[in-house]
Amino acid sequence: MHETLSRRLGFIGLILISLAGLIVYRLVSLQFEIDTAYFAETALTEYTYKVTSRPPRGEIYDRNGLLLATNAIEYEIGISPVLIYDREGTAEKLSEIMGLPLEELEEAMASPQQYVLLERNAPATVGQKILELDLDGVVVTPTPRRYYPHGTLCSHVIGFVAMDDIGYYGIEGYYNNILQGEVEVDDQSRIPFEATGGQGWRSGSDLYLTIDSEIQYLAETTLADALVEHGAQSGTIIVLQPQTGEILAMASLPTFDPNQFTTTDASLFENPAINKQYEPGSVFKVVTMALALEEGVVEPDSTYNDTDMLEVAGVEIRNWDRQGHGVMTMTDLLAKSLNVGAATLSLRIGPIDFYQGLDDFMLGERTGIDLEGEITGMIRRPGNENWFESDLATNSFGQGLAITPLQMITAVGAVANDGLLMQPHMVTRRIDPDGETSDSEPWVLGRAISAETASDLTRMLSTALRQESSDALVEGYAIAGKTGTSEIPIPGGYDPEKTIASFVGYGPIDNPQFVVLIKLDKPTSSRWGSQTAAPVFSQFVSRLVVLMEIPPDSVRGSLASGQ
Amino acid sequence: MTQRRSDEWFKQALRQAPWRTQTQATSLVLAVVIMVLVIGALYLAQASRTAAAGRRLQDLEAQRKALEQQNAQLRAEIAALQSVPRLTEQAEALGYRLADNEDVEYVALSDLPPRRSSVVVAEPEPEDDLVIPYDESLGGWLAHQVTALREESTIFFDRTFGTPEADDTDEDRPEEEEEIEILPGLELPTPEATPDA
Repeated sequence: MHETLSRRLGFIGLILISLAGLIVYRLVSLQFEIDTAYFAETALTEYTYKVTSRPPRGEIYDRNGLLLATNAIEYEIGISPVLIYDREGTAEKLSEIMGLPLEELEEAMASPQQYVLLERNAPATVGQKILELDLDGVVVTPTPRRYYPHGTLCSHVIGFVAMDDIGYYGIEGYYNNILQGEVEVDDQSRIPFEATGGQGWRSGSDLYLTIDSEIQYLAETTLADALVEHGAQSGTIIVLQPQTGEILAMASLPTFDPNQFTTTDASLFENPAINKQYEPGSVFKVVTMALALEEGVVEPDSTYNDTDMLEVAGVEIRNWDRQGHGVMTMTDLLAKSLNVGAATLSLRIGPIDFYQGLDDFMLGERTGIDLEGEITGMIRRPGNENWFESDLATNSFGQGLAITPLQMITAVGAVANDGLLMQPHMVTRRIDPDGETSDSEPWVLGRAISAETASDLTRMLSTALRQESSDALVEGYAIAGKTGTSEIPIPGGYDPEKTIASFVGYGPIDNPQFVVLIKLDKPTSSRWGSQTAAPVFSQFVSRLVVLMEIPPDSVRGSLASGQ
Repeated sequence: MTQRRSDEWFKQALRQAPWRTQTQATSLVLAVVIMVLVIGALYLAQASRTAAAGRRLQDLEAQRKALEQQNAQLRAEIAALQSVPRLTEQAEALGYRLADNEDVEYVALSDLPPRRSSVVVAEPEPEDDLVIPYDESLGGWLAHQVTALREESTIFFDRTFGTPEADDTDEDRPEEEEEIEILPGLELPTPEATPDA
């Protein structure tokens, strides 16, 4: 009996030990030997669910660190009627805070639905007040949104972020991927053993623009006043730093508030400085003269006989006053803005060198500025189907071709920068979430003309302004510049009444710190740029030099001489 | 006589044998059960602590998110208050106007830094990873326990026997008489110049 018992106990013990051994083997094998991918995947699908988290979008600052675009919160406010016990009291409190009619709220609370939306985008102050009350059945959900604290200021440059969290137009559109960061799709655990989140996403980078908000505001207010004073429909002011290609201001009117983009006419979103072509008119004579000097066709003191009409391939070229001015110098040509003279120069240059020269200034091409939606110009060339010999003459004074205001100011910026064409750009600094900072360096696109030609032309342009006692002159500062009055093409010809008045100038001429383009569309006070855009330039620059802390020439001269 | 007693003892021992065997088996089972209970209790305690910590982490994450949102909102409000149009409006209400070049007197100053300097942003130093990554494997758990035990023992020994004095011959220690180099353009405040002094 004893032996039987011992055998049975031993057998059972052996079975138990075997089972225990199997369990231990399984445990060890699960930990160390078997590929755990299957179990990990099963656990993820059983105990976790996907949560998509959008990282904070990068912020946009101006060059001085002023916040231009940031992230704020709004609140979605709704109610679950079945969870509200004191309906009358809750309705009164919500009505007081949200400004909704009491009847509307009482009707919502009587709804049989599980959830009734009261307001989708309530301001933060409203949402926080309701949150503080902690009302039963009232659901307050924060929703992040893009916020532009300065409203319309710089809106064409910044662009906006739509409901789909994608940036459109301007900086928001061009740098969308950088600003947006990396979206996180996280496995959130259903059991509270582990906290997840924050590991997968990468917030967007912050961008510092070349824009100076004070100069931008000055440009926008000056432009707004100019539109009223001269009865213009729209307009643009651009300020460029010629030595670096930095855009200090880019203002166009009419404009829009990016905070209210959903209720804005979509045609206002486009930035006319880069999205719209125009025929620049006589400001283009700066380029023609530069090419003539560069090609050696004329010298600064060369003369020509200005007639009342020049016929080119059957097309009559006439001056703005339809008169001939006799023997004129090159400076006279610029001062009196003579079309016959400009056409004479382009004919002497010849089509090959003329259009090659335009290519050297990159006119008609995209400048490559870091803003979304830049378009090319439209310059017909020899060999194109629609190019005629007369185009060579009309192109010389900025008609029969179309460019953007940015292309025009970039070309004039090359003249102000000793002939070097700089890459216009908007972003000066980028700060990544890990703190890595990268600064943009000035980038030379190429040499348009020689430094000697640029210097001669600057002197000629400055003399021309003084010679005509231009309204563009700024007291105390030597300025170079050129007016422009261009006709507007319409089907079958040009509009006989309306014009585009413009002025492009830079200064101080001994060390140019700014190039300013003023463009007024369809002014009614006068059709001439010399009477509309030129005085606006003077008014604008007289304050611009204060903001940029550029002393008058006499002060700088005395400082340089050590007096 | 002796033979008889010996037989009785053997018979008695035979009668008691099953009882002893049962007692031993019961003790073994009881020991196993107690061990399982102890292990279960330890596991339960650890699991509950982990769950509580996880819950607290989730709360802290939600709190962090809410604070970040509030921070963003406050930054937006500050930016709106610093808006150039608003400041200009306020200045005009106080009787100021935009200056033009005729209003400005320029004074020559040497070594004045230019106003239009580039923006310098101080970036915080990256912090060390304070949270030990959680390893769900048995090896990871053991390593975690060993690390915790080592840290506790270090604290215990430090408290019991005190921290050894710093070595006076430490090369990293700055000499007391060493003069501090003052960068050009910077001056250390004198006690008289300090308001609290």
